[in-house]
Amino acid sequence: MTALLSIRDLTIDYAGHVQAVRGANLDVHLGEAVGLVGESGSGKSTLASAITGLLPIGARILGGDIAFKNESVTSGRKQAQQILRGDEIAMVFQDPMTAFNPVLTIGDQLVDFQSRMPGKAREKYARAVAMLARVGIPDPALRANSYPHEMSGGMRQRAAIAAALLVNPSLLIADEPTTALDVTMEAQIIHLFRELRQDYGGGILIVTHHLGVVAELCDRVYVMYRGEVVEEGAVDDIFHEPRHPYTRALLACDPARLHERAGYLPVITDAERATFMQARPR
Amino acid sequence: MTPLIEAEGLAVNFRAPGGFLGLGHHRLAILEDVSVSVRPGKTLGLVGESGSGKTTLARALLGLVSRARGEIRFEGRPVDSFRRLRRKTAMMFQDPIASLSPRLAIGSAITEPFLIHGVAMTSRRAAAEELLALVGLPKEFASRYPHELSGGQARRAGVARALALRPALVIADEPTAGLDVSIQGEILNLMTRLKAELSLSYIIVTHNLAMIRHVSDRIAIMYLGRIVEEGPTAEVFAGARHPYTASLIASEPIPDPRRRRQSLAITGEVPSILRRPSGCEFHTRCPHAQARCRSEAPSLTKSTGGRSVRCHFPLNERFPPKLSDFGDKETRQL
Amino acid sequence: MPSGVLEILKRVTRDPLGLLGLVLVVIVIGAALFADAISPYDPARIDVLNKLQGPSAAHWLGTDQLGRDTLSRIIHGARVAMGIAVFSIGIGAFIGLILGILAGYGPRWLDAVLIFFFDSLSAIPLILFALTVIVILGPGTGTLIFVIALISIPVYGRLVRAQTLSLRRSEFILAEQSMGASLPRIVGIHLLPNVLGPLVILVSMDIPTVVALEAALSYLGLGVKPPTPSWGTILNDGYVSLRTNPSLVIAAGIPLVIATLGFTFFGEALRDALDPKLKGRRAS
Repeated sequence: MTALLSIRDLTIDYAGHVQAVRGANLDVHLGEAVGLVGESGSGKSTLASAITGLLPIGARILGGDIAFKNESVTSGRKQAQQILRGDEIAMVFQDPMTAFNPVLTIGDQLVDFQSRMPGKAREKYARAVAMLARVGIPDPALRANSYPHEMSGGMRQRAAIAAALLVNPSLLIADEPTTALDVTMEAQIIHLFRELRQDYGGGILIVTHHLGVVAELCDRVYVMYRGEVVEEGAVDDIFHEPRHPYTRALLACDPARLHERAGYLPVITDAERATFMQARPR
Repeated sequence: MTPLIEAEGLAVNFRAPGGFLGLGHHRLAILEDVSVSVRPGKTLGLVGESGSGKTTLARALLGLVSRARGEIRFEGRPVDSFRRLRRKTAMMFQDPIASLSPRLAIGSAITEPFLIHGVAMTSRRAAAEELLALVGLPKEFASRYPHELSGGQARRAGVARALALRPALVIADEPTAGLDVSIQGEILNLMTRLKAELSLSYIIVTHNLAMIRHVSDRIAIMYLGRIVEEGPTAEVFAGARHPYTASLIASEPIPDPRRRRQSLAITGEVPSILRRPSGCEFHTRCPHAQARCRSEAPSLTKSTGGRSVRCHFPLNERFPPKLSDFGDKETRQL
Repeated sequence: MPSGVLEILKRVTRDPLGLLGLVLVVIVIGAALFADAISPYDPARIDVLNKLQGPSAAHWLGTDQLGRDTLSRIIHGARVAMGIAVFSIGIGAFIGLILGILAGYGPRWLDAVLIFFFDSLSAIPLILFALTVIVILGPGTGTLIFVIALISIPVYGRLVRAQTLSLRRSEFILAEQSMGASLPRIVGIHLLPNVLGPLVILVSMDIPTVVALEAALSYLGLGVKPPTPSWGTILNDGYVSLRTNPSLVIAAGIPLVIATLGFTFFGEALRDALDPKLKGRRAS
């Protein structure tokens, strides 16, 4: 099976000195949910933004290749990337407030997102309302008339997911999709992603620091540490038989995985950190 | 033993402008009928989602937010002026960098309590270095500025400032917010170690259930400005009596792909504080809600085992809950 | 200032326009401070024999209709312009700072009263107000300072109030309260330095406006009274003899351009240098 998204030996640096991503490999297949986990500063967000050509200012790709449907994205022209970003790849961000224009209603914006698609405005509006219903927004016809600030954080994230799915992308990238949400809302968004997978055939890439989200949602996981992918595997293997010492240490740190009440919580010491980079990937 | 700090029937209102030309205003109840207490040397966890009033409660306990009703007692004596309390209490705020004065070097910031209360120190420099050593920061940090610190380092500086005058009570608002799991542990372990060394009591305000489970002796769960359940941490996690507590615990993602949840523990959203539901405020989302819950507000009632619950039909008390009601909650409670 | 004035100046000069601005500002202020030492002639010395001369070795910028040396008058004009700008803006900013902090940190009713005061002051049309005051008090340096100070109070007051209001809700002020810090301590040590930054930027960008206003009013004969040299009066003199000696108008215009551009560039660079968001921070 050829991969929908295939990243090979990708290296990205910031302003010529810091290597944010070093020699990363990553694949996403159709119908698959892939997790990309790491701590802050691990390079996971930089890697994700490189896929859509939205690298922060100062960052540039030094080497390697990103291929989408067997076509290189990195070597192509800017315009090709923009088309790709709109129709083939959709993104959901951590803060759904920033994803919407504050002065337009949600419904109008969902129509706008379909600008490259055929159909009359009224059909697009109907499609938008149907999509709002599908992501579990109650009274979708009414809600389409609200402005972003009139919705709660959880509602906005649902609407952002609706916006992403409207263009029927083959790859959905979600960058920390539940981080800004409360626990009960997080559970509902995780549930929503799972439900959507039943009829959404594309690939999903979930970038997160939250191990619980990955365990709940993903089929495969990539673990990043200081710019490198240190381990990759099926979610069950990573959580139950981690091979890289960093993965083991990271899992051990999660208080949700400690069954007994611990007086002191496990941490990753600097001495341990020094050994991680010597251990080779996979 | 007398509690170190105790609040009874605490209520806090905010004034929301409104009325003709904004001249009038109506009262918005942020906290209603809140009673909590912390015994010396213990840690109380205040748990709730955003809008639950947990931060307001923490601030009201230290008089940073004025209360409409209720009494606060410190070491058994009613508090009338918070000024005298300031030396014995300290607060750590949510955003570690923003809670440090931006134009003050860390060394000056953490020794400020000495100046404020006129407490003698050998020299400001020595006091700063001693405090930095206490929280495991190198002494060079004395001359750094808040924006030059990482989240974890600023957090440590916050701990140092809070402990400068060796208080009896430290209230920490979301001490792990924005920190990676590996750094979270460092801060919590530091707090745990200092608690023993300096015989402190903590109130930890958080939404992080996985964390609070390990660091608190008792927890109080808040929903829309009220405490809905209170009790020893281990027992509350082992068998929640309020349906909200149960669904909160069941909502935490489980970092184990073999125990994925299939059903949702809770649907809907926290109602707006502007439109409080009638009766029991949780009835709009409660899987067990009955007619009585919609009309009659339950009060926080003492239950067995030193626990309290604000529910007409508590779980795990007289009748065991139906497994199907909470998805696979039971499998979580190892 | 913990970040240090030198550190800020270093950041200002990193921007080429900021460096240019700083150089121009230093020239203008230097001229104002050392006017007596550097001007080749007494600006009031009348020499009718050499009136209305073009630039020459003896008079670099020529002379006016009374034979006074234009360069010397411009240098002394800098002293007048700077003096008026610094005094009027200084007084306005100082009163605005105090009222702004009172409005932002004080009780709600006081805020309402002060806002009403600011609104009333800024509702008055500037030039008309200036003319009225001048008619009542008579033209002169003191009148100019009074007018400009008064109309600039609401500008600074509002800025300081907005800053104070947002700082008041910030966590570090709350943290100070939780430690039991006294009101003077909170305001003096924690609020003031954080309010001062934006105020300094606004002040430095307002200086050219005031310089131009002084020149305009003096040009109209409503500002500085002759024989005191002012850029506005020099400009007026030049206008009278525009046909016979155009160099006078040009010479009088140059310092206005230098001062305006200098303070504007400097102010903009200062704003960038003091913006914590631009302080070498980068999103990850």
